[in-house]
Amino acid sequence: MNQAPPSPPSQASQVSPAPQAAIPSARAKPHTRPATPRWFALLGNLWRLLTTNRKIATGSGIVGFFVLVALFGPLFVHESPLSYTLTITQPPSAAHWLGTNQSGQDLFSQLVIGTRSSLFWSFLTGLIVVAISVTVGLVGGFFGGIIDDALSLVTSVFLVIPSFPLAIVAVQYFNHSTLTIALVVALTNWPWGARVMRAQTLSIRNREFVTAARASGERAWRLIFFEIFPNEIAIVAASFITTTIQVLLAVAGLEFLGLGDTTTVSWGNTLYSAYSSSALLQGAWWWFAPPGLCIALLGSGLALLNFGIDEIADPRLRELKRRARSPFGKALGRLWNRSAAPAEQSEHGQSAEGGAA
Amino acid sequence: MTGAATVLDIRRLCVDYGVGEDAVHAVSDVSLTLRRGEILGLAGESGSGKSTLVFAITRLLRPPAVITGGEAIFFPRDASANKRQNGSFSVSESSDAFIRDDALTGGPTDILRLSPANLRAFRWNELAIVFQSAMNSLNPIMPISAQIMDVMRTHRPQMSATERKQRAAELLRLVGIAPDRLGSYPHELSGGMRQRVGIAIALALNPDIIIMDEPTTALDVVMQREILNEITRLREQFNFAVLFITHDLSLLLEIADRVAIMYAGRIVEEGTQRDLYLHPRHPYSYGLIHSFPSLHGPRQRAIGIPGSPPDLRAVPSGCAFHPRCPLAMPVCTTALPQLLPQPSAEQTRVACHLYAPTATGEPPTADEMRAGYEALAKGSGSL
Amino acid sequence: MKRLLRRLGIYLLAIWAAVTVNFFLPRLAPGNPADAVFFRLAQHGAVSAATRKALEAEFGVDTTDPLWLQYLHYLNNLLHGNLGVSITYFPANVSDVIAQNIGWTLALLTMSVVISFTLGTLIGVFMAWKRGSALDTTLSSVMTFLYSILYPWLALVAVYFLGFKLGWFPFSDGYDSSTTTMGWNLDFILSAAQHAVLPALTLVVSTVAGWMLTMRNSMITTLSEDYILMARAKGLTSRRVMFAYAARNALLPSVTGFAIAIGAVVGGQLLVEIVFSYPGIGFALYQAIQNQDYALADGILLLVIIVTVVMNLIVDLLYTVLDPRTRLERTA
Ligand SMILES: Nc1ncnc2c1ncn2[C@@H]1O[C@H](COP(=O)(O)OP(=O)(O)O)[C@@H](O)[C@H]1O
Ligand SMILES: [Mg+2]
Repeated sequence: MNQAPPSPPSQASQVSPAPQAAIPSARAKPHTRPATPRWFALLGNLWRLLTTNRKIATGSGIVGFFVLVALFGPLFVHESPLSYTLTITQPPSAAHWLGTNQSGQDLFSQLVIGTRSSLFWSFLTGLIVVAISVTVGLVGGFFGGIIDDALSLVTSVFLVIPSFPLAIVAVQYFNHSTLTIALVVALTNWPWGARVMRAQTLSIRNREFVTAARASGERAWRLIFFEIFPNEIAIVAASFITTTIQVLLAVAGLEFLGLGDTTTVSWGNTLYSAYSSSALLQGAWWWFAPPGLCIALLGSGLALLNFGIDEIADPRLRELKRRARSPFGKALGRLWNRSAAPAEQSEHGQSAEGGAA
Repeated sequence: MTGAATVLDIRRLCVDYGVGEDAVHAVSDVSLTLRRGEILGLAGESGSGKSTLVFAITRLLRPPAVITGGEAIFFPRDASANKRQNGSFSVSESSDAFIRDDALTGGPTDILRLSPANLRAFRWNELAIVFQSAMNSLNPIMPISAQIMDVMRTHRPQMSATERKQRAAELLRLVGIAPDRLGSYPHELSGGMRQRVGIAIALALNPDIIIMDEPTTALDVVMQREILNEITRLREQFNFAVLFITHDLSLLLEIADRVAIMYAGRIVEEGTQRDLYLHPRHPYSYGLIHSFPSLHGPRQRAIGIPGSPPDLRAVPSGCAFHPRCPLAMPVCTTALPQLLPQPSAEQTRVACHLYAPTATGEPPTADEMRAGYEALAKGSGSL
Repeated sequence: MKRLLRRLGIYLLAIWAAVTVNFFLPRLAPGNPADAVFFRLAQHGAVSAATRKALEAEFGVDTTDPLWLQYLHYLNNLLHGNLGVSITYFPANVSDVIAQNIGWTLALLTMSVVISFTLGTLIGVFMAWKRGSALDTTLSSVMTFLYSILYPWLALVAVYFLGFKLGWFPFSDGYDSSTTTMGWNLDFILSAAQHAVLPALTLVVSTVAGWMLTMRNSMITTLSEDYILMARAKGLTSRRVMFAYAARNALLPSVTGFAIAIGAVVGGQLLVEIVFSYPGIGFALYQAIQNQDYALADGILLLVIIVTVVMNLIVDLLYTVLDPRTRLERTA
């Protein structure tokens, strides 16, 4: 805290230049910060965030891999995923890396091309869900009173209704386009996020900067979206990730039941065709195993990201620093400490061995 | 109190948070002696490492904290002293010798090296703790009776359920709570009552030492006063030693027998309550004592210590206090002052170059220190 | 008490909301669901005029009644347990079909939820206690993977390996109908238990991760509380600190999380039943979807919601028992 530079030890110059006085002036002008350095700092922070937390690093690695496959994978796949061939129900081979299904379709192509649609629809639906829940949560939390009561009630009610069975029943009345599925899943999954956002909004609503902006006559929607919302980005991100996992599983589940658009290629549709053609009893594990594995892997990647965010938000959850356990590691650690900070070691006048925690 | 035997001797204790280069030295080279039946006060601004010290000598530190050196020697009372005269402890006293581990009845023991089993037996039997916030240190979903009695269940297994219950009621009465509150949950009690419950639990096994880490900080002034009176009264009745920790020096000067002052993880001054109050030697002690309006002595304007406590991740070189010190000298920025006994007062020790045997000039007088602080205040005001 | 009453109100509202959504869906949907149903029914033989009328009323076609009247009729029917006729199991009533299947579902659900919640919570406690150990790190990774697994996929894998390849357990149906008859006889119970192993295992494995990770985090947060420190300072045994102090408190957020996850667990169970052709309402739902049996699907949805609500209520009661601070409201 004390940033007084080492100064010549005359008594007068010992005065630290009033550090407290500097703080209010820096805080007084939050609106006029220069934009570019902040973005740089943000990118720098992002990079540090991605690299220092192991869970976030692994998670973003996994998710990044699938995003790359979704973006560029189809460019490298030459076989149409839906074209029939005569090589039916073949195990993996050089020609068909993941074998073929009962109609002779190449399963590797299906997996790669399916990545694109599965990812796209999950993220899109996740975005819709988050948009709904953020709006409901922000509006309820901000306005309070009867609006909040009403929205909270609706949220609690829909939180009780099991979303997946409701989605099944709803989907069957409509044409089975992926958009329908996305909408139904979105409409049945928003309450959880709304509740989280509302709680957060309530806690932010009465903070200084909001009250100040309100006093200066800002309009409600500006307050909500420019003052409060930016302070909830972390929680929105976490909620988006959680939601995306749920959506990924819900969409795949509906498709597995044959409620999806069976003319398109996606992980869930491959599972559906595998299940409905009894791939299992033909021993065609290569048919149903890869899409499920991909779903679980992508889900794990997202979950890891989320656990990492949790750790950053709540330091108590952070991994404990690894301590060297083997005698060799211990010795190495001691050597390292000694060479790194020889002065401090002697200052303590004790070796590091006496410690017991 | 001067002649009483030592019950706890902390020797050159060092505690770090983390390892390697970015370790935070929260407690550095701290030596303190607690004597039987005395109240030793430990004061320092928050963040100076007081709680870390407490957790170290009670072996309650959690990673990333590491004890990097030192000892905390506990001196058990000898067999004859074991039979103390305080009527109300018939149940627990008779069983003490029977239960206590040999390692503890034998001779002085280093708490930091106790085996897990011995440590468990040592805890609460010999040393109890009252934490800062009783709201947080009481289990919210357990009635207070259970929280008092589980100490006895663990350490006095031969006590019957009725005996335990009687003892719990007696303990509550001791701290001024009606025994019919035994079944209450923490959230049903007021802040002051919770703190009393904390003290009652600490008394349960009649320990030699009670450490109180900011026991009154979360309370209002009236409640603070009541609790302090309670502590003094109980101490007289049961003769336990208290290590009383607070950031509020004025409080210590009222109840402590001796006072130690901590700054940035080190003890900077130690002395009897009277000596420290009348002749604070370290400029930091002087600043602390005079940073609140004096209650008893001649009325003087309160002074302020400029700046804020150092971030322990980047402690200033030399004497950690030098950037805020009104009397800093060139040597203060480079050399660490040793905690040395003072010829003028036999029990006082100070870590300040102004008092070192090698110091050239006379030690500063109180007026000089005051003038220094006032000059500092003026200087920063004009900046 | 007030809290419980409020929860009860919300549950009733939830049931009503779901029922209402259910009423409007076929009326909003493009095309004519009733036509599809008639088509299906016609395959079973002639459709009586009365049935036709009932169906038309159910889906809101060919009726001159105003919407509100249709709605009232619909609600009245539901209240009388009249959920319509199932096409899949024609001419059985939906309520009869459900009554036949619900026992299987409830038995499997209770068994797997109790096992997986207990197991997950216990392991979560130990993981947090031994935090940073090899056990904790390994389990954390495995659990993160299981956490995002697709239930029916895991069911397929279980069927393939444990059922099909190794032949350890039967992997379809609820009991062996060729050798045993349903009822309270030992053969049937053994057969049913044997048939339940794989579905239950699948459900436990795919839900345990959620409880475990929730409990682990909750426990870690709790372990940094002052009262844990105080319990350790008191010299209590690790077991007592771990369970009476830490786990008891950490369980509270975990139970809240449980309430929120119930819907997802019930949904997952439906899917698992389908893969195992388990004779519960999940499998019936699958049949209903395959046959465009809207009445049956609607009825099952209603039932699933009721099951969820009842489980929520149980959790609410449990929470009141576990947390004395909520009990205070009774007097306040
Ligand atoms: N868990 C921790 N990790 C790292 N540093 C810590 C931790 N806890 C405390 N510290 C550091 O130790 C210093 C002393 O803390 P503490 O003993 O709680 O001070 P006090 O009780 O005097 O207020 C603090 O300044 C803080 O920087
Ligand atoms: Mg403290």
